[in-house]
Amino acid sequence: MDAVRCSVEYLSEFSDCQSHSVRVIQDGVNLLLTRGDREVLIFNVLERRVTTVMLFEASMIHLALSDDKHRLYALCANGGLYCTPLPPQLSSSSVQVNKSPDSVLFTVPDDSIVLKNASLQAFTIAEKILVTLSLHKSVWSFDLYEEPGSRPLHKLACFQVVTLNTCCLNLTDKEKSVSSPPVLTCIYPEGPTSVSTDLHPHLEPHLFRLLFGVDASLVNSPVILCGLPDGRICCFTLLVPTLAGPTGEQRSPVRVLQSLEQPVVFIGTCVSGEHGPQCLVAVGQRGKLLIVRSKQASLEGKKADYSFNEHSVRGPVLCACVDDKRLYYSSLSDLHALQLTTTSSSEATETESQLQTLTSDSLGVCRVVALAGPYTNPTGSVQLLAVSLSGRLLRVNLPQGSEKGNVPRLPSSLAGQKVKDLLASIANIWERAESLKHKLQKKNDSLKHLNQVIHVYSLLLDNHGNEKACNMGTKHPISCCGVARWSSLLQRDSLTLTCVLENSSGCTLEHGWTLCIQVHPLSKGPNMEGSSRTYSFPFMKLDSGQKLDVTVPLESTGRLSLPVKVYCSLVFSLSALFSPEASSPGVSQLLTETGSISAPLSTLTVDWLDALRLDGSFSHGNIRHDTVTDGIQAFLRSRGVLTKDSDTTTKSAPITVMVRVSSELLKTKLHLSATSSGERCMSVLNWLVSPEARGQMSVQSPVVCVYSPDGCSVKLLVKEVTLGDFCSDGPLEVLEIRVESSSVAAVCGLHHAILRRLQVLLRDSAVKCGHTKQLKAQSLFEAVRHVEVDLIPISLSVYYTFTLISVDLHVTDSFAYITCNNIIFFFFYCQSLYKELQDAQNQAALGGTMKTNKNSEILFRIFLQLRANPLVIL
Amino acid sequence: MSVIPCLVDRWSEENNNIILTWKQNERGLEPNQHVRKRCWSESLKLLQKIRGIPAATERLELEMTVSYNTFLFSLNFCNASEIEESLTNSLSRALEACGSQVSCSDPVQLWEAVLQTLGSSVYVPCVHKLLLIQWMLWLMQCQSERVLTLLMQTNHKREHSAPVNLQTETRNLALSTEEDSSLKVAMAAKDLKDLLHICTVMCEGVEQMKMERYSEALEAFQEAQGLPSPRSLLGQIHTLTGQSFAKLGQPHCALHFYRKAVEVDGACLSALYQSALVFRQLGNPKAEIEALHLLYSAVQLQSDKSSSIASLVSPAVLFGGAQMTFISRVPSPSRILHTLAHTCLIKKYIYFVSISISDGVEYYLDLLASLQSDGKDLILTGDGTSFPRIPVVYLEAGFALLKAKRYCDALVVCEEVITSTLDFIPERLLLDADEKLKGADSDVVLENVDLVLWAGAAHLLQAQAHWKLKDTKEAITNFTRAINQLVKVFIKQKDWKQKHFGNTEAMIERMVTVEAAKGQALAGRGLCFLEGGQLKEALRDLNLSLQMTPGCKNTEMWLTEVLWRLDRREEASAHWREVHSTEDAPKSIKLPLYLQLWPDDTAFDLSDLKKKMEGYIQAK
Repeated sequence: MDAVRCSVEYLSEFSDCQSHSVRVIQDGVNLLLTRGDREVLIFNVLERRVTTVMLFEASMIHLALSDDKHRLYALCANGGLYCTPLPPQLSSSSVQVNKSPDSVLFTVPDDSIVLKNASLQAFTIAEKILVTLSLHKSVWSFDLYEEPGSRPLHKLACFQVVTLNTCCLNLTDKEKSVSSPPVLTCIYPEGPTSVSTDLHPHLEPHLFRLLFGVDASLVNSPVILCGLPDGRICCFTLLVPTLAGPTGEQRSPVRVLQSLEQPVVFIGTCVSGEHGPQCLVAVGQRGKLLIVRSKQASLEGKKADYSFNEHSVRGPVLCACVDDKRLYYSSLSDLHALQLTTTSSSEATETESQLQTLTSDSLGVCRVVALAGPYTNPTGSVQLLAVSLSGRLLRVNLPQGSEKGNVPRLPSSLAGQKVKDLLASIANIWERAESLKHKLQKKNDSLKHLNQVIHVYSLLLDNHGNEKACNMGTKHPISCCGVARWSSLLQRDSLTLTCVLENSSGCTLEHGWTLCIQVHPLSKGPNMEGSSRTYSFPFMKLDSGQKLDVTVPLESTGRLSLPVKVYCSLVFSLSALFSPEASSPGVSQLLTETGSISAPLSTLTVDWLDALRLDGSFSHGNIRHDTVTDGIQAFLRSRGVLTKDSDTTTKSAPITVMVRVSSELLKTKLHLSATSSGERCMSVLNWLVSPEARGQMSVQSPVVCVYSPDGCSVKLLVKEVTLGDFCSDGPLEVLEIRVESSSVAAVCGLHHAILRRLQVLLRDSAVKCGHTKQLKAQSLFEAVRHVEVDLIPISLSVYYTFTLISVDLHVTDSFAYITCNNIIFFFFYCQSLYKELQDAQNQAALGGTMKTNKNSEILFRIFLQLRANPLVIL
Repeated sequence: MSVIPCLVDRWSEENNNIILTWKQNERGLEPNQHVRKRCWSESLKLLQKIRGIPAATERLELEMTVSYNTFLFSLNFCNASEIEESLTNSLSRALEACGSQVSCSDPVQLWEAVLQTLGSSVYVPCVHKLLLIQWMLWLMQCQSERVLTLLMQTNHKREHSAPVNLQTETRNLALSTEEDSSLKVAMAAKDLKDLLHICTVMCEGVEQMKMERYSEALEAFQEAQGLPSPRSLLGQIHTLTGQSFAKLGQPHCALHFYRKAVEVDGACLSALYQSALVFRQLGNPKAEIEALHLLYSAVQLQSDKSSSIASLVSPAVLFGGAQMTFISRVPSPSRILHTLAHTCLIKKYIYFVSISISDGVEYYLDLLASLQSDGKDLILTGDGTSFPRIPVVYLEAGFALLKAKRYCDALVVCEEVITSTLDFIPERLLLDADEKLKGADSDVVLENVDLVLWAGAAHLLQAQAHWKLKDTKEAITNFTRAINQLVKVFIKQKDWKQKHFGNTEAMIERMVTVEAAKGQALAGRGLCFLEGGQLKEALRDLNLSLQMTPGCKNTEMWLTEVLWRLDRREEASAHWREVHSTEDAPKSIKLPLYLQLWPDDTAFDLSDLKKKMEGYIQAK
């Protein structure tokens, strides 16, 4: 079917509308428009602007003009029916009083309410009678009031209709029935005496009489037709008194004409004939169309009658209007013009077949929610005023009926409209495509991100796997190293660890990665349960080559417990892959369970050496008050060992511990270039005290006095001695590292630290060591016997012990340690140690001291043997 | 000094100013509704201000007085439930001010608490003012039991030896109504109490009337008469008394009270209407018509002037809507007019009361005019009486015009009916007397019969008019049309008159009417033929007419004449004797007014026939 050509003009554009309460009333050049909000706009069609805005107290449900068009009645959602005079320039519409471009805002005052009844549904005004329809407790009541009347309005009459008991209709379509208010239409009989009012439709007297009875016709009274949401079309004669029924009783004036069985959207009259419109038309929301025509009395003398013809048009019908020939109705998608035929009596037999072929022409205007008109303008073309759902006020110029035969060609204005429509739909589709693209992009990004994460992760895992095999010199692509430093905050010194995460790999660490640093004290005292802490540093982005510095405190619960192991790891949280709004609930739930992957980066140990302070400037808060003796005593007591001779403490003598290392070994390991013995000593000392500053010498003498973290002064000295009888190859040059302090804790801690450093140094290069062969034949015991250890007998009658270093031994298998006030005691797992000692005598270097009264025989024996054993590390 | 006394003074002054404005307006010649609204809103604002701070005893009197005023002003602008809510609020605040805990929102219990707490304090006058408001609200809602409970609570000091009765309670009510001159009130408590008292008694009476216990009602009204009351109210009391007497079968007493009512209040329409009814009952048509005429004039006068509610509390407000319509029920003006017009014609043509026909015609013309133009009068809800069908009114008007010899006008009026009914005339309307019809179907059938009847009657009247205009040809045409219309109603059973087929009264009535109309139409046409000399046709029609409506003396006469002219003298004399031997057939008064044509119609001079017949019979 060819689209009927019509041109559409945009008159104005307002904001969006409430589809069911948009009303347009045309009054000359002015247009009264409501969009279901609190405003009634008065729009001047000629000037194409809003001249007046009337602001009501609540959102609008219905609008109507009084008969003389001087007053505006408005039913608002608060149940109030307002009556307000129209602004003067409207009443005299030809005179333009208000020339200013600004529209006038007029707030309708509270006291213009003429009726307040929350159950009011609709109203209309005819013959100076205000007819309201209200629904209260399933009774529809029509109330008639005098208009304009005193306030409160003088009630003239009241008729009631019970709502239909169709729960199915009311319940399933509840929203619909709510959204479609009842329709009240007043229909006048067309006649010479009838008032010519353009506010209400007319009907030819013949059909009027047939439909509404002799009485209404004789009195020339208008009839109020009401389309209820349940589909019934009720009618009552406005100006006829309550009449007696056929048997003399009083009868209800309200009569049900027909039921559409769907909410009624529109009632009007159509198809002009000689004596006025010849059809009564009612349109239901779901597209049922009822046409009531009269059937002339035929020649056979059959009683004249009217016929109800029902048709279907495609619903939903939002609004409708009629002109002489056509019914215009708007479904959401299009505006249709339906040609209604004048079926005369001669065609009565063909009626049915004809009606089936009712065809509607699409006008190509979509989303119209309110119609006014049609009006014939002076040039003879028919115009409709329409309001679209998006708040556009359109003027639809309808084509003339006579142009039907012409070749269909789009007029330019319509073409423009078509193009606009097309553009709008293109825009809609583009929007959808865009959003889909966006989603896809997000998914791709997530995958990319995940890929990168896995790449980084594998990189890290490779590092970790090769860690032992890897040389110290090869740098990991992603590394984390840390330096312990003293810092002073609020006059309190604390040891902090500054970790630097360096990304020297080719890829960027994106959002979602977290640097986790776990500080784990190696010494576990009885009151230091669960003292390991984890610090996480999420970061947004770490580009290739960038570094991230973080600082964590090493003290916990106010005390420093050395040595500590620091595990650095990178953790990636999977939820970072998804933006929070994009992830479906399933995914997010999955992620909360296994939400992250973690890769170890490096393990650092902070020992006493790291915590030494070269300068003595520290605050007093750090000095530990508990003495070594007390600590040891406490420890022993907790172990159930009673000491008898604990009083014989000699505090005056500093405790000394010493480690001897082959100087050649150190030279190779530390790549010492110095030739003189003094320089070598200084280098070694420097390496021990400040390993991070390898290049410049911070220590200028072989003896350095430093302070331990707890404030005791410690003397570290390195000197070169020659051991003549040690090796078969001749005298051996060894560097003797000596720690002297009055604090047992410091001595022990430093000893352990030095040994650990040496262990690390040696372990990293165990394979390269070439000197071992020379010592092969020599038994451990021989070697031990030759070396004197002048370990200071500690005054306690307890054993204490020491450190063991075992190259290539499994450290964890062979000893355990217990801390008590920072003193570390290592207990050997004797059997394994003994065995291992024998297995690896050539490589082993053991340090030990001790007198012991501990129970294990083997341990005791070994200790006895090792007591004076020197420690020479080759 | 604290700020509170200051506020009390200021607010008191504000209140007094509002009341002063109102009093001035009330005294003015044209009381203005806008002034009332302004007074209301100002007083409401004041009340809101006072309620803005916590209740305290020193402001209690002021607050209660302002509440009282506000409630009185608000009567026209708010509904009873809104006022009651506000009243409950006031009472709660009063209790709060006195330090007692408010626990319930039920007004009865609340009042009990208030009366107990404040019953013997200096605030009694104020409390009683609010009590009057509560009384008024319950009276408006017709809750007489609650009023009784309330008043009993107030009278609690007395011993209840006698049975509890609202009347005695109201009579014995002792309210302290002394006024405080420093705080003005819109209406003195005493006045309000008196008004409420009388209205309560009236309400009781009306309730009794509704239950058809007229002597009890009479007691109540007689008590009410003894109370001081405004004129309009007294008129209504008299009317109600009269109504009770009328119901008790004492029409003259009733008339006495109606007269008193009209004497007291000239605008007491219901008294006029009721007296018209009594006159009808007494069979005094002239007085009835006069009463109706007075009523009609009064109604017209009243509708002209806008009824402004001058007084603050009008009885119309106090009686709920239903009560008020019961008390002052008067039919709508058009209904009165129709009754008046119809009565005129009925009295003249059925009861042969000598009334000028022109009055009746004028009334009908007025009625037709008002039907055409004046919408609002028509739809006024009257006393529940229904208006006759519009075509009937037209036909009656046509009939009146015919009688008043305004034939052309009659033709026009009847033409209206013919056009409007034309489309509804079925080809044939077969009535099956055996068939039982359900309500709606029966109504449809009746409606169809009516339409046929109206169309036929309209043609009949037109024919009559033409006949009177000496247009015999046109008359015959119209008689024929009438017959053609009327014979469309066809009754299946031939003997429907004898047997009752379980038809409804209405159906029988319609059938009789249709038959009568047929008979009249045939007779009329027969007469026309007779006049035109078409004796055979005349004989046929007259015979048929007699079959339809046997016993119509005039028709018999004409038949005799026809027979005579046809030289069938034997038959003629037989007829003559027969007519004279039988008594006058009883007139079927059930026929509608517009068919009451024949009886006095002496278009045909029968004296000549009589002479001829008597001569013939004697000659034999």
